[in-house]
Amino acid sequence: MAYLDVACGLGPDAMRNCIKVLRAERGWSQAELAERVGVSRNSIVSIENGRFDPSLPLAFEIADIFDMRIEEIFFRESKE
Amino acid sequence: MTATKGSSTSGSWLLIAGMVIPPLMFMGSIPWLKALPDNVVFLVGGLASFMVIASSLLLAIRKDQSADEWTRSSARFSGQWGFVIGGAVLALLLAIPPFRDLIVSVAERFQSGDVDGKLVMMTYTAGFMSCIIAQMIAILLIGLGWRIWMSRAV
Repeated sequence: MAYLDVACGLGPDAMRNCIKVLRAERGWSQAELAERVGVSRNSIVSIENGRFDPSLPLAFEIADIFDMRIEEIFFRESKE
Repeated sequence: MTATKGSSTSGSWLLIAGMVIPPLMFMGSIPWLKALPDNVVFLVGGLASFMVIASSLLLAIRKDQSADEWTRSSARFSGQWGFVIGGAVLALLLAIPPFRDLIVSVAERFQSGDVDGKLVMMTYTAGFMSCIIAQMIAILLIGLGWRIWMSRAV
């Protein structure tokens, strides 16, 4: 299962993010955020739960939507 | 926007039809094809294969253009493992007598009278292996091309 997690982008150094919180603060649904960013709702679901790491261009796009910097939204979870 | 989406959907269905209908028509016309010369049968089979390959290629290009990176990642994962697992399953099926009998019975539909079952199986297996080898060569060449393209100087 560990391999499958890595293959799916959820390795020991997987990124985490606060998109869910930011989205809730603005009252946006996952579908609404997906439409604003220009991706499928599945993308947002997977990014929010940490199963999928977005590319840099997509991360920048998400940061622009929230009017924040990337490092304020995405961060690497500590190994401890 | 809606009209564009509608035409895009109908275009996809047209391409899916191009993938499904030719082989069905070919299988359905086997009794008629049996009466024709071998060269004509090979030509019809080749045309049907070409239509399937061309439709699937065009559909793949259309889907890739409209896909986001999550969808591409999903396609990469399923494609990478689907080809391997599909090939392994077929290799296992070839060892099961009922499946071999099924292949021979399909071949018998092309020819009246008894067919050489061993020859049919060897031909089928050789065809399958050729397909796998062709895919491996294509993967190697495309992989090489990708590395050269991505490593080129700006």
